[in-house]
Amino acid sequence: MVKHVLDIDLEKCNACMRCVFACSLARSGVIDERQAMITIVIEKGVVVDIAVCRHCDPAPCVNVCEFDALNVENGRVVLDQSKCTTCKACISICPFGAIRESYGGELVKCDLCGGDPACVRVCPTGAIRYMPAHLVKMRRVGGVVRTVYEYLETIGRG
Amino acid sequence: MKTVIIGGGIAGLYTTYYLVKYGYEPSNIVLVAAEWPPYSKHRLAEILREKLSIDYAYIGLYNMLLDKGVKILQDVATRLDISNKTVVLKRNGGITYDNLVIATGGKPFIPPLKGTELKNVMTFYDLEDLKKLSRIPRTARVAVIGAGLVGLSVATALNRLGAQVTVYELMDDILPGVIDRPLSTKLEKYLVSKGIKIRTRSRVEEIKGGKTAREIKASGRIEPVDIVVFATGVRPNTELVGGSGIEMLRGAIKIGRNGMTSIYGIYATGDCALSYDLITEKEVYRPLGFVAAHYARIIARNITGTRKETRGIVPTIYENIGGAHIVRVGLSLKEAESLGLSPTIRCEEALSYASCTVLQDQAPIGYEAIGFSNRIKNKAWQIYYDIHTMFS
Repeated sequence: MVKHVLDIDLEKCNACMRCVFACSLARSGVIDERQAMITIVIEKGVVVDIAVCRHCDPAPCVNVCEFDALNVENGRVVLDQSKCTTCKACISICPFGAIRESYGGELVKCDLCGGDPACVRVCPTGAIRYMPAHLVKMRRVGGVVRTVYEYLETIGRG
Repeated sequence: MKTVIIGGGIAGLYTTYYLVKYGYEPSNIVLVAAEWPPYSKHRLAEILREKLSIDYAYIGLYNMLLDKGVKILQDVATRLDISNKTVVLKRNGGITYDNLVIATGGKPFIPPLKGTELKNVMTFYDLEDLKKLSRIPRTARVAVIGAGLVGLSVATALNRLGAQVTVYELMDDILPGVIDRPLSTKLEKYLVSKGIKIRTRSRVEEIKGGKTAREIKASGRIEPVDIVVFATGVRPNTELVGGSGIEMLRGAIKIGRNGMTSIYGIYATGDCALSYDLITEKEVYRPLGFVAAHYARIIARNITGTRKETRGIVPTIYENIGGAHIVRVGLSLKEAESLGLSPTIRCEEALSYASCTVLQDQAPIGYEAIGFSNRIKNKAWQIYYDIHTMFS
């Protein structure tokens, strides 16, 4: 199976918040920004980032987790709640701001909805797309996705 | 081969987990836990703030270990008999071991002051403290002593609930040793804008009152108070080890790069033990969960027959302090200085964000940041890898 990840195109995002609400609904059955695993970052009225897991491999969060709670499984970075102690080391290290604290101190991150991401289904502008990982890397020359992957590959750690 | 683990906190729980993961026969593991089930202290402030059930604090992992057949004894170890390889328990008597892991954790430190024994003087350390603080009147005047991560977490949680919170800090700045100026100054301004009073360079001298605390005296100034919460750090809980012959330093158990104490077959990890800093390779006391788990993994490897050593830890810290994101990776300026380095700091500011890189001989050894939007993103990962590339 070809690894698929989310591809983000900031310029197409109009901050409609559909992805955030769909994510929260899919995860917890309620519409609540704080339960969502995707965040639209707006500064001075401009969308500056869509913070969501890019499923890096090797991944800084997996590397830094001492509790074996984060692992790469089938090309996806998966968080095992039963092992997470909410030490938040992964939040400090994530290049994308993609891991968040939810109610009760539980950490949440994107699990790609098992292969059919709710955010992609509802995005009206194509700002979030579900793409083969190798295409995502090539599309973002000079962008942050490219930089992180390359950096990790260059220093060869995982 | 039988392995006894003393302590049911994070250190004991994860040593057990990694032993099972690396193929150790679960029925040969005995976990002695005074408190059970295990929970995470990282969630206490959130539970307090959101008025949630304490069930949110428990770590689900213990069910899996029970299912695998790990033996849990809810008991307290009272004595080590090293020559007979025996741990004496309060209720269950003596149990023998081949490998012993000491994971007795820490205990909150309260400075020796007049009035700390009064009612309404407490710590914010365990579930009992959480229960007590959940019951205080909504508009209580609360004095939090210590502006570290724990102190500020509880202060912001109580502030959100409506309490009138004053934080007393002995040092010049808040979050001493965690972040440096100018970031600590920014955080202080932010917290003050939220209605929290901050008294830095303030030495608490006495808690006054009859049976209940009524006033707090700090640096000569007396203020009325309903609740006093000490968040003045953690000390190793090592009474069990004293006099056993296991080497200690300032109350903490000394361990080697493989997690073993000075006595063969006896290991230690967590808030009862020292650890190593990767950058300076020095012994440090860092009572942090991921340090405990790092050594838990190393110890489990060694007990299961894979010789493994660690050169040390690069701290990776994130905390949400009342809506301000705090990130720290590697060493802070103050911590680097205390470890004998002569670092410099370089800071930069963005719209809702400020960060500093700590440098030693031009090379990055630390990074710290504070952010105020819903953006947590930062450059910590890059510094983290740079540090590993340089020092591992």
